[in-house]
Amino acid sequence: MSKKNILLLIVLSVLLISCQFSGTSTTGQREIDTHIGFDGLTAEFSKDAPPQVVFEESSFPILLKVRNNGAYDIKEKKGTITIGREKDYVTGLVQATSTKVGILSGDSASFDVDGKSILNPYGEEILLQWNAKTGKLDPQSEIKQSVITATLCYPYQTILTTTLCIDPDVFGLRPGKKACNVKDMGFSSGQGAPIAVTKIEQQMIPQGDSIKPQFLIFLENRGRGTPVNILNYHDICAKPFSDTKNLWNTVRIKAFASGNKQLICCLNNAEGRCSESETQPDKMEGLVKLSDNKNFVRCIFQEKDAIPKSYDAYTSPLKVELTYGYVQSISANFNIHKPLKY
Amino acid sequence: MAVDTEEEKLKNRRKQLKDSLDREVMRRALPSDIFEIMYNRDDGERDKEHDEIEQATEDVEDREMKRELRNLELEEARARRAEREREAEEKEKARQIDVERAPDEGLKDQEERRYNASWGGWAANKLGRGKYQKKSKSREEPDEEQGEGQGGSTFPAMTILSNVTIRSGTFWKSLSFIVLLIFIIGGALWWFGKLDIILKLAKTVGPILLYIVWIGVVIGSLVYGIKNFKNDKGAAMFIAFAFFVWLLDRAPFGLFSEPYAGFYFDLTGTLKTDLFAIGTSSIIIIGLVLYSFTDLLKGRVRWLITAGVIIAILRFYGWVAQKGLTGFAYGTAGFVVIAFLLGLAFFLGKQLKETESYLSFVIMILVLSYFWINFGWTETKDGSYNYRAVLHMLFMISFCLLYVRRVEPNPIVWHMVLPVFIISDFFLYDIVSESSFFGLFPILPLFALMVCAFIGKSGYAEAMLVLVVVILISITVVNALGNIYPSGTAAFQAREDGVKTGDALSNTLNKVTAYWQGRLDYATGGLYRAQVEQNQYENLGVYFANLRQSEPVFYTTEPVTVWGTIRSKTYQDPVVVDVNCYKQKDEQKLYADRRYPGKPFPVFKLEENDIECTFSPPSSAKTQATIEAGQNKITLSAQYNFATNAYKKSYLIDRDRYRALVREDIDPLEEFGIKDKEPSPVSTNGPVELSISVLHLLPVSNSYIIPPVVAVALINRQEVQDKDKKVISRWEGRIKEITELIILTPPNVIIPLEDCKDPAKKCPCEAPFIKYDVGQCKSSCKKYVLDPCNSACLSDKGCQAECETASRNCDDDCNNLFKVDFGEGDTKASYNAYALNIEEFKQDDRLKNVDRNKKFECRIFPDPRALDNAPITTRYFRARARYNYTLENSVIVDVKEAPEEFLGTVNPEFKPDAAKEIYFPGSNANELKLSEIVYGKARFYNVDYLFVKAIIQTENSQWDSNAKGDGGKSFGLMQAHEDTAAFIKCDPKYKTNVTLNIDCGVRYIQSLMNVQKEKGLIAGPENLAAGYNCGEGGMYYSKTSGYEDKPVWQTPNGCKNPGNTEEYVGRFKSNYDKLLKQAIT
Repeated sequence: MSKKNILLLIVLSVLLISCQFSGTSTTGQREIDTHIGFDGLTAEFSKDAPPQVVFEESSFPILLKVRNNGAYDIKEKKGTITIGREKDYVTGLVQATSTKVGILSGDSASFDVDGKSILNPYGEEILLQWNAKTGKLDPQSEIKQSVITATLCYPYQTILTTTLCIDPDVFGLRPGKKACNVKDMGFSSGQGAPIAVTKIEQQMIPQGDSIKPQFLIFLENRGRGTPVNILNYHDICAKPFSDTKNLWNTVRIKAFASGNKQLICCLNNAEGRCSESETQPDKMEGLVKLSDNKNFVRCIFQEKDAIPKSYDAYTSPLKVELTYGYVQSISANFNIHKPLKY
Repeated sequence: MAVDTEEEKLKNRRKQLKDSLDREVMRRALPSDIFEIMYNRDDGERDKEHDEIEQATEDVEDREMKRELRNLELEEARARRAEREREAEEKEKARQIDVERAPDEGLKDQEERRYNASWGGWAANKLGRGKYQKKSKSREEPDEEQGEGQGGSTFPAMTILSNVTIRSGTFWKSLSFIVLLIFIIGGALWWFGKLDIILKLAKTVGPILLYIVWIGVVIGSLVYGIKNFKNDKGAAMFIAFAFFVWLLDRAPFGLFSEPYAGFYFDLTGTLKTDLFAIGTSSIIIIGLVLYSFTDLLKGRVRWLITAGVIIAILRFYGWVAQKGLTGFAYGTAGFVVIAFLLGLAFFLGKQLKETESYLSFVIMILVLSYFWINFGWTETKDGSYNYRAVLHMLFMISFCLLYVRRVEPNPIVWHMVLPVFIISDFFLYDIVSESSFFGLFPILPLFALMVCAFIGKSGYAEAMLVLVVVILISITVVNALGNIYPSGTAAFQAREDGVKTGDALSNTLNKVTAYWQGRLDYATGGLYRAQVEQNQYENLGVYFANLRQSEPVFYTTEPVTVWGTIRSKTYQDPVVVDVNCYKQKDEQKLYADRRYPGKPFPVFKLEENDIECTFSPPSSAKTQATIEAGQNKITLSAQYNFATNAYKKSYLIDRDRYRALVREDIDPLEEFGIKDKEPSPVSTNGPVELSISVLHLLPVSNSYIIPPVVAVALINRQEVQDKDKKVISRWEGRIKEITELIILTPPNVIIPLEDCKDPAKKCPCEAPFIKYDVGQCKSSCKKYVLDPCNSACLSDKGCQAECETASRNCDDDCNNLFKVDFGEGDTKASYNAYALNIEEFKQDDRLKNVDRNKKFECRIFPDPRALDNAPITTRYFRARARYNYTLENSVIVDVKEAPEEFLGTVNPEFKPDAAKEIYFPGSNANELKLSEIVYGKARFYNVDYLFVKAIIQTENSQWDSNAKGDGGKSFGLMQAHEDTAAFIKCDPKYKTNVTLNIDCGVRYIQSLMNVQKEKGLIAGPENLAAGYNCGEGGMYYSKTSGYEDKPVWQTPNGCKNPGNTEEYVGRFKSNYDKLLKQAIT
């Protein structure tokens, strides 16, 4: 084989393989999994807004780019962003509006931003812009470093859908081959949200002639912010602040098995206890307090959904929904200079 | 018209002849086939042309030469035909031999193919022990598979390709076989419904196995490389290194945050990169110089000259750019490229091959320079050190320098491999990032393996290459098939959060900007930036410099003078400085008799003033003797007013919010993106540091059990340090008096001073404070700025205008000091100000003479209204202090007792300090003008000033500096004789230069004084004056009988003109007495 042919072969092989697995094949579009990754929103100040250097008593722009890298859409202007500034040195702040952004106050805005979808696999990006004005420096000062912070408070949701094995033969006494085996499942790629289900441990708990499957669902905050209770997330970015219990690091969880049977997730009541006899759907919702950014929750089948021991092992879908508010902040430094007077 | 036609014909004919001649020249120069293609003429036409040429040559009478040329062509044509026939015969013979040997070769090839296809044979071949393995060809031997590439191409890229020897045999066959095998096994498993089991197994144990294999390859390659270093030329060791880097890139178990994925390729950013900076970086300069010196070692200087020219052009252009005389970027790039090509063109044609090598070297160092200048790749997105990118870079450079350079003798290869390698490794991920396959594509190890296999011809590298490609394809297939399962477990994470080149390039651009700014600073002396940056570390306030005594040694008869420079700098209020000097004696300060300037003077912005203090000698001191023989410590003091401002940032947070966060063990500052978690108080520069202390994070609520405290301290600095903590100025001083101290708290943060009036409540401040407002601030501007300034200006209108300006600025500062925001609802609220009630301290010294520090504390009550509509509110606490500061620096002065012989020349009642002002009655302008010089010289040579003046008056009563005497042999003010001047080695210019003339005369007097003392001659000024007139010999005791007790000048005929000397001494005495009389009275 000649040298040229070999090189040609390499190039063609590479192109062929890359096309085959990149989803750009003409034979069909590969389905894009949007529920992957650990990001919710990502925010960053534009490189030159605020600029590195501004002069006293002058105007300058602040441009914030917010992208939804997760799979959940933030709608109805439920996202809130608050700009923190040193009012001594950044005296004025005027916000520009757009369809996706609403004004709450001079320093606060609400926004919508859609997550990843098949149509938009990168997630939506919105721009928030303010025009700021610098104040005057102290008489003996020539330069002052100031900081702008942006705090985002928004609701978010993690959804995991997987398949689990229900095996009433807890002790493996039944002869013959089983349709599936009970085992732990790991999820290391995230579900397109900052709080991720990282592992599910399955246990079949015998209870008389039936079994009650139990799942230990392990959660972890892998994002760059802090989860807050979905009911109070807005308070973090706003004033006044009302201190409530279970505000920070709180995630609400719902789980459903096949036939849309809701599981009871513990802890699930205000006293911090687990009531396994709950029948009201909203009270079956679990409340997880993350500690050191992780924790786990126990979800069990309802009494009425217990599986008779006589059943064979079977696979069943499991859907886990985590609902929470999320707070994250970024900051940008810039220098205010005093123009020299000669 | 007819003439025109004739001329036209001649012109055409001439043109045809010229074309024919050109064609004939081309026919000789080019091979016939090329000539035919170019001119595409048939034989008839060619013959016709020939005929015309013949005709033309006849016309030009060159027929003989043309004939010889034609014969030569014919001979050449015959020779070419014979050569072609010989080649055809040889080919035919070779073909016949091949046909005869075909059966034997076929059998041998068949056996070899069978052997190579077997696992044992393949493995043996990989390890270089194959039965049919050919010995690797030496570089000197032409490679059949290379065709005519070796050395045939003159273009660098072609040269590289020609040197890349791809062994198409075993590698590709092995690879194809293994891939086929995988597909066959996979297909069989799928057919029998076992594929899912295998896939699940692969997903579970695959990653672990993979990492085991990975580590095994690293260790195995290292061991193999050490054992076979000679044969392998280090390829296996570099493969081990590459796999190790790859392992770190894809570190398992979340060991590192994200897999390494190169950088995003930003074409726009790359194009915007400052090409001039790349072209002039230190890498380029060092590279060019190194290359040139390597060349120089071979005894050649051409590249040294070229490098010199290029560097000179770049430096010149750098200078031009720094001067702001030209633009930048693309224009610069064009300029550099043109300059470079010009340099190359100098050698083109002669050393074409070496030029290629040089060109490829320049390309390589340009690429390296790009990454050197754009250093952002060493940082990750969060600003931490991107050690993996650095490791990649280290690998690539060491690989090309230590391996490729050794295995490939043609330098162009490694010159080009390195840039391609770096660019591929950094940016190829991004270019193909959407592909799942390339998400796993290990560019660095694959590139290294391919280079080792194809350029280094390493069998080990080939084997590893097969292994890597097989594993990659397997993983890709497994992942692709595994997509049908919901589990997201995968051996690798696809590229998601690699370091973004956007950020990296942002840093890069900043660095380039800073780099460029640095260059401008260097060129301009940092006109702008220097002032801004230096303020923090420079002396703001009043400082002494260059303190020194006017003479190295003083005598007790002389006044003691101390000089110095006072430097004053302020950005705010004008400073009024009052300078004085004193000597501490016991508990008493003895002040100087005279000081300059004698009154306080104002300083606006920046000034330097020379100061002087003089202490009278003990003999003339009217009261107590200040200066005494021995060491005297003279202290210069400057008292001045100054203001220092300070601020301290504090973060206000709702107390409930704070508690909610702390309960969860969340750092509130961290949570809300505050990086400056412990902001330091900032004080403006000056002799006193004003420090504010308040909690960094201040919880705010409606009520406080223990309210927070704000404390302000004035600290006497006594030294200024630069950023390296090196002391740049040190002084002794103290706060003489605090005249004003203001504490400003943010809106809705109050100090409830009204509690001080209620005995039931505790006063929030320990010292008496009162409310302070803008009006009071402006009043203090008048009291502490305008009034003292005007007072110091006296009646100077310009100075007073400056005072007015300073006062207005002070008023403006008052307005700004209280403002927070401009017209934003409740943010219109101004700062709350509280002033130390100075009046309360009038009766005591608590605010006076502070030599260490003074501290004041108050409790503050932040109201929830102080919070902005943000989780954290940043506010500043401010303070301002005005004070009078006394600065002191000392100098040690050495004073000696005055020598007796010196005293002997003058009257004991003489007042040396007053002597300077003594003049002859009715003195002329020359005396008034020149006495200062005479005084200086007399002091310098330790000669009685009045004596010198009397001599001058006697010699030259008009003090004419151009006077000549003694028949033109004595010159100037002191009428120094040329013989005498030569004897004491006076400066030859003494004749015309009055200072040198005085110097010469005074030196002569000094020498006469020395003789008078050493020889024990008759004392007194008369004998000395006679010596000046008569010469040294006239001062000696006479040897004439009867005159032994008299000097020679008093002996008859003792001097040349004895009468004259006596008369001279008489006049001198008269003059000297006149002066002495004034001095004594």
